[in-house]
Amino acid sequence: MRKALILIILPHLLSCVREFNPVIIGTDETYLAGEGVFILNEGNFRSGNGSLSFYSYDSLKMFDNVFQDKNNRPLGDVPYSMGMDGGKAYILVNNSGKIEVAGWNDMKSITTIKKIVSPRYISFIGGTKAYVTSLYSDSVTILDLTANSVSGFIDLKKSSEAIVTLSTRAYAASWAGGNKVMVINAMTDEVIDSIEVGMEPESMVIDKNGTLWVLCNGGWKRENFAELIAINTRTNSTDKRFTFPAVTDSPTCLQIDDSGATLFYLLNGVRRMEIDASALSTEVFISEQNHVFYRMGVNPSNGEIFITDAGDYVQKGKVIRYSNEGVFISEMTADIIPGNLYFKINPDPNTE
Amino acid sequence: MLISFHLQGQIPLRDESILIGEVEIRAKSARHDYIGFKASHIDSSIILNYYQRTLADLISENSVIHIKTYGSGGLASPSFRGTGPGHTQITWNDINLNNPMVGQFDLSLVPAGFIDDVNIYYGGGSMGIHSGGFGGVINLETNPGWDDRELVYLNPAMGSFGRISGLVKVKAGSKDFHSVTKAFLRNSDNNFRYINSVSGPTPLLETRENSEVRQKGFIQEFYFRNSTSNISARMWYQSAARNLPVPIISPAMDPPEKQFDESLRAMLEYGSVRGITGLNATAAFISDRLNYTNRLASVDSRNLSKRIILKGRIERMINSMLRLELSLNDELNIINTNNYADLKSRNLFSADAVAEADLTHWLGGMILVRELVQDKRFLMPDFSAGTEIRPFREKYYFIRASFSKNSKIPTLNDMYWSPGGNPGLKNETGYSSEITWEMTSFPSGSLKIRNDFTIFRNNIKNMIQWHPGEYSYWEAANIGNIITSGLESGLDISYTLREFNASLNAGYSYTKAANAGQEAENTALYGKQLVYIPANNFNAVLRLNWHQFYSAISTGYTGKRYLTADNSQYLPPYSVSDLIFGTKLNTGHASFGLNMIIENIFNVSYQNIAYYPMPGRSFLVSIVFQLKK
Repeated sequence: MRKALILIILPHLLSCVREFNPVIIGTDETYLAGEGVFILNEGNFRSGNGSLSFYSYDSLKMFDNVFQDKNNRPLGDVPYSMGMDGGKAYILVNNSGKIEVAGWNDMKSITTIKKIVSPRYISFIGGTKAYVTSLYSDSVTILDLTANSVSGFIDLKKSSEAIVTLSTRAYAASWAGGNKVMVINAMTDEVIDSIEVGMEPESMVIDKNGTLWVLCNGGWKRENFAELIAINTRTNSTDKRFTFPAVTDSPTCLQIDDSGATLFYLLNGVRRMEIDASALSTEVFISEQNHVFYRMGVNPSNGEIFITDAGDYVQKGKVIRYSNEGVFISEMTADIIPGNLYFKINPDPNTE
Repeated sequence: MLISFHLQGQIPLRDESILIGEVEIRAKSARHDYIGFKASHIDSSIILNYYQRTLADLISENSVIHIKTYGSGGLASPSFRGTGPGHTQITWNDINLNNPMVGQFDLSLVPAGFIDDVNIYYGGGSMGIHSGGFGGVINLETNPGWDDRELVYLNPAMGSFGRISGLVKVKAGSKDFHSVTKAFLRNSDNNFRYINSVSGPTPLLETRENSEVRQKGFIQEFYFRNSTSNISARMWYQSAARNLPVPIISPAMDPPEKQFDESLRAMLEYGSVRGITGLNATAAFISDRLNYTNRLASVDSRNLSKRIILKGRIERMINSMLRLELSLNDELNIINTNNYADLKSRNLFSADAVAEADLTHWLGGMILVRELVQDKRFLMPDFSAGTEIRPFREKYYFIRASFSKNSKIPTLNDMYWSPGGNPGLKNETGYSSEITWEMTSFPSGSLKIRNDFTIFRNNIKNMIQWHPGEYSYWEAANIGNIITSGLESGLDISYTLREFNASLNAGYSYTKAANAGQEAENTALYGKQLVYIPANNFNAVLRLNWHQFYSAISTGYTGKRYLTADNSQYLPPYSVSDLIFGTKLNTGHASFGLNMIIENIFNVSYQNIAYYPMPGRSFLVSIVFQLKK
């Protein structure tokens, strides 16, 4: 009988050994103050294993689990994008329905803005407010940056994905099953126009001339051709419309360099195209080789191109660094499904 | 050698009764305990304490099978010897219940009180019932209980977190005809409290939302027998409407995700034994509806599968040593879902031949050969072979060894889900081997000790996995091999002294399950434990009965479970204990009982799946009214 009691009690003693605390990589305290690249590792949907990595230009090292390391709690489920304003980082955690606000130079949590429906991207308006797009909601959420709280909504009557701001106007793309870019008056928070584009506008940038470039990937059903569309933001009309040659072409992740003259996007490798080109690029600027490119970022200070490779979406993915001429520099391991990238440039250009 | 009539038409090769003093041991009481293979049984006396709980609770506390569960009322799927949920077949009186679309069965949907016996066949020993059970088969039996005196059984219950449930059984009939009716109702809000320390800067005490479950079901069975044959007709209906809670790292959805499961199962069975020949024929129809809605994501998934199953088996004693068995099975699946391009159907036919022999008093063996025909395509034959040695004539000691090749057909979702389904998938193939030592001893007339020790190894090739495809959606492919290996050990001790009875049933398993093969060799995943497969699993149940009082305390230890394929994150081990106690008062033909269940008595905070909190201490009180002949 005594042995039986030991058998019953022993597991309870063993179970008290440790609490849930996923692995943390040891880090020094100052690396976040320097320049580098934040990598948002999406993790597996509903697994809560999303994380934030930081590639430090100072040490040329990758630091994983930055947010967990600084705050002793996980970042959440599917951290998708981030933005920076006023010395604060805003990390949009898509499937956790929240925005983590943290110090730009230390990633220590300032507050958590909760109950945001499926946040995707953020765009800042004049230092006092921001717009947050949503995959599931038909509204753009307005954030009051002074209080770090929700101050209102703009009803788009459709879900939204990429968003960019030009002066007093914001452009929000309706991606999931959509074909429109909604124009918002950022002074009045009202929708003032909509622009019909191709199927599923996935990403957008604004070039040096104020032209809005919209990359439409054609939709996952492959029933429509993908398109790259240039929109005159003064008239909200289409200036150029490039159609990709094959219905199976599914370009993603439109980026632009700091000069605002060269576009980059992913399509079986990295494609590069000048904004005044008369046709889509037919040549691969950076080939995938043994990788499958997932997301891309172009460093605004030196033009370097960082690309993520999510691998098999189960184990840790890679981040590959190329020069502005597309020459391979290095390859680093990040975490599970490394996705969008955000460059940390000193001093913070958005800090007054 | 005895040829006896078994209710289901099964002829035992031999009567395993061994008389030691005044104790009788009956080893082959179940229907598919082939020589050389491991099997275990959870009988009605144990199930009695779980009438108000689910099959998942019953199996997790009385076997070393790991149950992966999203919490009370949530999906509960078995992991058997390191394999996935689709590699464990759940059957009802030999008829496969695994949904042909997803290839698995939700153990949380079945109240344990609906089942009379649970028989677990490990590894290749499962092939006597169904193919594809690399881990094994859990066969749920309902039977007439010809000798039962019970006429009416009423068992209403009320408990924590808005739990209200009830079970009713009614038996009627004569010596050769029985009607058995069972009905079940369960409502639970599952609105327990937990601490959320992951969603914000400060830990918060929160209430679980969107976890409500509404279940109902009934079984109606008719049994008829005469001196040589028996006929049964069974029908089982059940439905479950539930909200699906999200992980606590995500905010509760408004409106919540909803799932509705509805199943109708009907079965007609005929069995006979004439001389040395036995015959069994079964026809079954199963309809499974699964509707899932997520209004936020604009998902309205409607899925209906219908199956017609025909099984026939003939067996014959060739001589005093050798038994032959021939089985034919045909299963037609028809799927109507808005997730496939169109209506899909598939027919699976299999023919089995079994030879089982007692060569000497100390040596026996069996071999099974199976041919599978998928639609009109003949597949490579499967086989299973086992041997059993009894080293000591007077002792109840066994050494069993077996080797099997088993095949699992891809699920219909793997083949036809849009997007990502792959009609060109190959079957998964499992090679299983195991060696078991089992001994039972009787140190005294009132004390019985049984223990077993098994080592096993499964090599599963052409594993079907979903992986990122070319156009941003995931696709099914045969891309992996896994090897699972480990050991299992069981210890059962029972002691009886006049009105006092005590028993201890304990089990332990160690499982190593890892990616293998050339594809994995050069990756960081090679040799890493598969996610959510605990290496260590232990459970024990101590039962004490004295006069009209009974009690049972159970404890289960679940080891570390990795969350990521590279094993960099994990959930810590946990141990949870439950206590059951009650009393029963007999008054003539009626009896009244009071039963109390305390689940998680030490109020352990734990997660079976990451970010899905499990309830703390909870209570369930039930009363029992029985009317007997």
